[in-house]
Amino acid sequence: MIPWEPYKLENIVDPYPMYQWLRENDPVHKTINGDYVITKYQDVKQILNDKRCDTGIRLDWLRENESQLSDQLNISFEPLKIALSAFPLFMNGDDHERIKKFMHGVWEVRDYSQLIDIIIDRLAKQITLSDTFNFIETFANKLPLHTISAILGIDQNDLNILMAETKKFFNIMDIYVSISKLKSEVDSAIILIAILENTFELKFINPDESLISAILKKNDEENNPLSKPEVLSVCFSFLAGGKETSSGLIGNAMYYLGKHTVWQSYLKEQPEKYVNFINEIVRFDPPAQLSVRKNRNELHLGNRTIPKNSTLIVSMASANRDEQETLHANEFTIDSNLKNLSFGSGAHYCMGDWLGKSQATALIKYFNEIYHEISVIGLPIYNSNLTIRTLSKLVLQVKP
Amino acid sequence: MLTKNSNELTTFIKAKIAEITNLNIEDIDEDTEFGSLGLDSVRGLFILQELEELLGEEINPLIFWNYPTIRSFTEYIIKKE
Repeated sequence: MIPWEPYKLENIVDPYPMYQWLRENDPVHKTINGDYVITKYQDVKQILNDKRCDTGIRLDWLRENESQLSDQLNISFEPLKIALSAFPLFMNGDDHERIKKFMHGVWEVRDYSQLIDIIIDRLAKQITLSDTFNFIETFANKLPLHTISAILGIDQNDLNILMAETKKFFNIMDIYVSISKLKSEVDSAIILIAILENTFELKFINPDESLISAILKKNDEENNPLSKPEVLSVCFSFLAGGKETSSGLIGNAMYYLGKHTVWQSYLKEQPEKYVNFINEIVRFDPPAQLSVRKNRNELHLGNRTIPKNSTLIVSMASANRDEQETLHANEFTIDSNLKNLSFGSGAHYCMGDWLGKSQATALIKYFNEIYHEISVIGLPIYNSNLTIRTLSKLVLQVKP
Repeated sequence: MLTKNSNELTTFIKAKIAEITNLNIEDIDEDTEFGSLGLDSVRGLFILQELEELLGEEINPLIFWNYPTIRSFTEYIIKKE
């Protein structure tokens, strides 16, 4: 038996038995290629908070192998490097602090509920819910993209192309790279850079209340401004943060709601609990399943000594269900507010968790309040990205 | 497109390894680990890419490590369906 086979269909559909086995039998598991998979709550938290454990291994790998890859494939990786040049998830130390400080200067917790409600209404009008429909295509993918692109100020005529290209580009966040995906990430980076540059030009001529205008204005006022590639990369990270994880959260939330009519009734009776329901989805089946780090120093975890410069795959999804850490962690419970690491911990804690949760809460509430009953038809289909757990298909039937 | 036939797959992978590493195809043992045949993580990816194109399906790169010989890798790909 190979304990770490996350790409197997049964583990893509439900990775939690694999995580449970690892937690109970080999919580700091050394894979055959020398990586370490870390699954217990305290260990995961320790790695996420350890400043000697760096992120950004994909970018390092790309830099190390760029010439070999470029020669063999006859393509330039420059667009990908631009897109990732100021991607906070791939940065460490002072560089990370500098970019994060800049982003915090333009990004603050705000009430976007009106915008979210308008988008939900618009999406609902575009489809006929008379029979069955794929909730992922019609709502879960569109709401986050439409929301973050409206906040950024990107032309709404570009939404279809943004949808297709962001999906391909954000495979960059997956833990294992393949040549075919790498090539499509480069192609998508070229298109997304063109859309963003076009938006920059428009906002430069006609500044408005959008996030991109705020980014450009702030950068103009900085003593030590970001370079143009860094500004582009900051926009990529807002798109990434705004799109993939929120789509995953919304899809997972609707799947759980559709499968359990008891919660549909419970939430109808106690609408103040929608927030709790979404918080519990965040903990129990989080969109961000894994994160990758590299330890600069030798590390001791459990009974293992991990040599320096090892690749550490930490599973937040597993940590959240660690019953040695939290009683009943492996059960779905709306009211318990159990602790979790779904949005990370420490310096790389997610900056937009509140936006993802507010979209999921609004959409789940909208469906559950409008429809008498929501049913899942057939089995859902998951995408194969191991880092961000998202659905590609969730067929629903709704009864008014 | 390649069919999922053990002999065809084995021959294809051996030919690709020979092409990349300059080994003689007859010297490539089916039970020797890829690393010992001179394949590193990047060179392995190029073989996976060609296999993906030939088989018309995605192959996660970790499979290459979890089934690290021609024999075990081929058996996995064939049984996967």
